[in-house]
Amino acid sequence: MTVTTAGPASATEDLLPFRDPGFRADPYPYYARLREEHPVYRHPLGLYVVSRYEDIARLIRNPTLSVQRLDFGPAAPIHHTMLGKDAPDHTRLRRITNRWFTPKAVEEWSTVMRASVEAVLDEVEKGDGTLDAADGLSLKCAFDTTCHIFGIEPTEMDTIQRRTYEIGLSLGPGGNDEEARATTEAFGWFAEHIRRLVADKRAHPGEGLIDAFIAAQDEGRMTEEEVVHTIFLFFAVGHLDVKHLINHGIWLMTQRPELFAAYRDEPEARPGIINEILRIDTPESMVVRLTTQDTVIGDTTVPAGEALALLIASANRDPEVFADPDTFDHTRPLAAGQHLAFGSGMHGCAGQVLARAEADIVFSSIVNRFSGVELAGRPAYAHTEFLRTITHLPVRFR
Amino acid sequence: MKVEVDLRKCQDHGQCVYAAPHLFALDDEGRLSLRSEATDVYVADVAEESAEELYEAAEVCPLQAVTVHE
Repeated sequence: MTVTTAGPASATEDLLPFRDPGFRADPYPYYARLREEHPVYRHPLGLYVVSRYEDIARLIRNPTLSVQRLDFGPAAPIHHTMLGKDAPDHTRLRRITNRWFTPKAVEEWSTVMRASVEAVLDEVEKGDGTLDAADGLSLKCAFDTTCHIFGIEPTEMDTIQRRTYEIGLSLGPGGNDEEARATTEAFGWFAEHIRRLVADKRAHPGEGLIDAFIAAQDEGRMTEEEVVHTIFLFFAVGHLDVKHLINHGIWLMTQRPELFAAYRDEPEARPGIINEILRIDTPESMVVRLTTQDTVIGDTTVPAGEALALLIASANRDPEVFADPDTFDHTRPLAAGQHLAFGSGMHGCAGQVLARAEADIVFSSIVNRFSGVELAGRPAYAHTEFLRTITHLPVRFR
Repeated sequence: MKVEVDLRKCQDHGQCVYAAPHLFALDDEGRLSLRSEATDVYVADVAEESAEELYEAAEVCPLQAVTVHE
């Protein structure tokens, strides 16, 4: 995104060096310092960064904050989706898709996910037990499921993953010109690809989500631009964050055999384990909002028209809410606080029932079939300041 | 019939407000307004004529925090 604000930055030292490889590899020590010393930090780029749980949990529900008036820069087409709209447009778009992600709907999508996961693991068992879990399992199975929901064949998976990542590069505050160009090209590719898919659906109607969008457009409830970009959005969120949840969960199991055993032996602990995976390494580090009036955050009054970066990944490590926050502990009391990995309030993740179900299907299938999992090579990462991303996760199942 | 809202699960997405505007509302801070009446679990009687919107609210809640008791 692009941040344009008047006035000088308050700190000369950059406490949140978005482009620094060390920061991208492990931003958590930086977050800890912000929470401690600068809970409302005016970043040199101009935006206000909020890092404490209490402030973020309140602001993320604040209905005076806008996304519609944010300048997304090269990612401006996001404004054609519910992620970039305030009420009432946000409400209209979200209501069209809500019914597709209810617990009842998710039961149906789960059968598709399960079949996809079992097919991958069948092949692993026939082979030598090794697999790149990143592309071969978490991406593939989530993508198969998304395409089933859309009512289309799962094609162009690798291109869709790459193009989504190129758009993701511009969703954080630290983008450069090269990334902006990649983002613009990626949106162009998606628009062309999706218009083809929609034309094909019009010629061969079905009962998928794309058919529902076409019907909504014909009834005047969605514009063509909204249809195209909402399909893009679901391609993106259909794999981006859930892939990280699954990859990070598998990686944790390679590091902590007791977690593998807990997942297998204590079904009642499974929701807590998934929550803790999301808390300890939150897939999207922040959500961004624009103030529309004076907004008081702790000792700071932020005037209207300023961009706020709410660091949900930092909130999820706030020791005021999560004791010993850098330690993985799936038995921590729920009463202490809910993690904010899925956001909260009206823009909170609509697909979280599905995301949790998809992760559970992968983890359950693994622990039911195998006795353990270990690294079969070095994992590779492509973290940005906004997205946590494991690109390769070579594992061996025993 | 009765509605039960688990406020420990609720994350104030407001989907119930859109589905059942006669039963749910958000306050000025964007939080479910019935939070002022309960801390953990909110239970209330609901008239039969609101059954349809109540079931929709229960169905679309992303946190599955709304339960309907016949």
